Amino acid sequence: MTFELILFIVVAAVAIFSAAFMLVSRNAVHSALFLVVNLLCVAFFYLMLSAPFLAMVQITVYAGAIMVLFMFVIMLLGSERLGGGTAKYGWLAGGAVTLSTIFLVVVFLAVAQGQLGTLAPQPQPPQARFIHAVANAPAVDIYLNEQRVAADLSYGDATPVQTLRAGDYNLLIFAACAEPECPSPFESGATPLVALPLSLTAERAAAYIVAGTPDDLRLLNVPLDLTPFADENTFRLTVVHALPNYGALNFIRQDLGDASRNVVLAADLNFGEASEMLTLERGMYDFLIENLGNRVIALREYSARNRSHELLIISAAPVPAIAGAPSTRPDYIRPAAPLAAHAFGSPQQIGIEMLTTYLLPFQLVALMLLATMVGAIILTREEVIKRERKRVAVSPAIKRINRAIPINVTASSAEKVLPSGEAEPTAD
Amino acid sequence: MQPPTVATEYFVVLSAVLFIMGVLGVLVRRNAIMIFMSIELMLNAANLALVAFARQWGNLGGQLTVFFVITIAAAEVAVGLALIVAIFRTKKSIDIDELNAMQG
Repeated sequence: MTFELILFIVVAAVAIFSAAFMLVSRNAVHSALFLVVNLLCVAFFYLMLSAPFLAMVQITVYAGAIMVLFMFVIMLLGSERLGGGTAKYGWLAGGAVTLSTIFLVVVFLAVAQGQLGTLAPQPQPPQARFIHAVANAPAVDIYLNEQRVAADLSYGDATPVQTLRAGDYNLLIFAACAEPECPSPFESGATPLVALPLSLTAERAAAYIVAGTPDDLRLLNVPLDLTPFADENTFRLTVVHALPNYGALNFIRQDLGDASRNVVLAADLNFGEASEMLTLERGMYDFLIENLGNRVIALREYSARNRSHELLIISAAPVPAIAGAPSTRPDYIRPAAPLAAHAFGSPQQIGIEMLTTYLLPFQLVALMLLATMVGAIILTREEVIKRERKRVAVSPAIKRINRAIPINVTASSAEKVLPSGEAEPTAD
Repeated sequence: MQPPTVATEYFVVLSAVLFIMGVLGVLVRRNAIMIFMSIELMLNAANLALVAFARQWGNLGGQLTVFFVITIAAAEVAVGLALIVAIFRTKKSIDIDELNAMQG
């Protein structure tokens, strides 16, 4: 039995007992206070169910505002003392208990037989993005089986993160055609530049980087981590060595003032290798990429968006051809970084959903609240109540219907009939 | 997402128990304010089940529904209590057995 389960049982017992005391209490104020305890228990369960925002709303709106309204009305009407149930509808109690027992038995049976449909949550489908990092190579189209996942990708381009279906694929890279109307490469019988098997598994995200030289294309697989961040003021960084014909690279965080405080973040990256994923706080960074002590690239004042997974791809960039032969120099590619999801049930995620998918219900509820406010004000206005009281008192039809109840004893007439002091009939 | 530590079934059973207590309150108690509080209890029980299933399926829809339910409950309480105050000032009683002007 885990700690959470013990906690659940204790708080559930408190919730059930407070609900029971609320029902049997003879004093309305006590009932309201027991209901507050019950609402706080439910707020605690919301916290356990990874809904922190709802827990806070529950405490402020339910346990705060609504219960204050209840207490206010109870005290205003002076109805702290509640009468017992009348004999008129006494048979309801027996029927209610019977029906409740039946319902509970049904729920217990459904739970015991596992018919709640509480299966494991659906796994996240795999996500992938494709990046072209080969200087002087033609633009490419990338196909998974016959589905095109990247079109006309040239050097430095990257696709956004795409959601794909899990499974085994054939990854085919074709040279993109220049004409606007292209036949499918499968129909025209073009030969792919690269063909290799690729297997996508659920819950994984990866960047597939076309690297190497124009004559020798490689595909690098760099895992991405798009899961929620523990600290929202950080970003993730992966450095990829995609610089052909270079030896091992070191990735160093530089301190420009004091070289002794340089930190090696990733050492001895060979071609095709990606560093471990680094988690860095937001800020300005100076990075140095070196090979055997020689500077290859220096990046100054590097910063990234919070909650993003940055890729820093060290690659060759094309330079204008000198004397015919295309040439390259070391450079880096920083494709637009995808943002990680917000944590489940966090205020940010709820806000985003509320103002996108649920915008219409949100607006309707706001409109309804406005109508409610007006309605509550009109209902409690003095003139309305006076008019209603008069109508109830004079209408003979209503009087005939309600002759069993002394409704025509209004405050003014009651004073005439009863001696002062007994003018106010008690509640109930 | 971390694996759930307390199974959804426990929350569903707890929610059913709380809901039943709310139903009993509505059917047995005759005081309008008590009936209102029992209705709040039932709404809360339903909300608890919704949040439990939202976590089960990793779907935020359940949590947002709870958000709307809380809003509507607040509106309902505001109008309902205004009605109770108005009825009390007219009839000097909030025992719902006496509110049979429509022969209910």
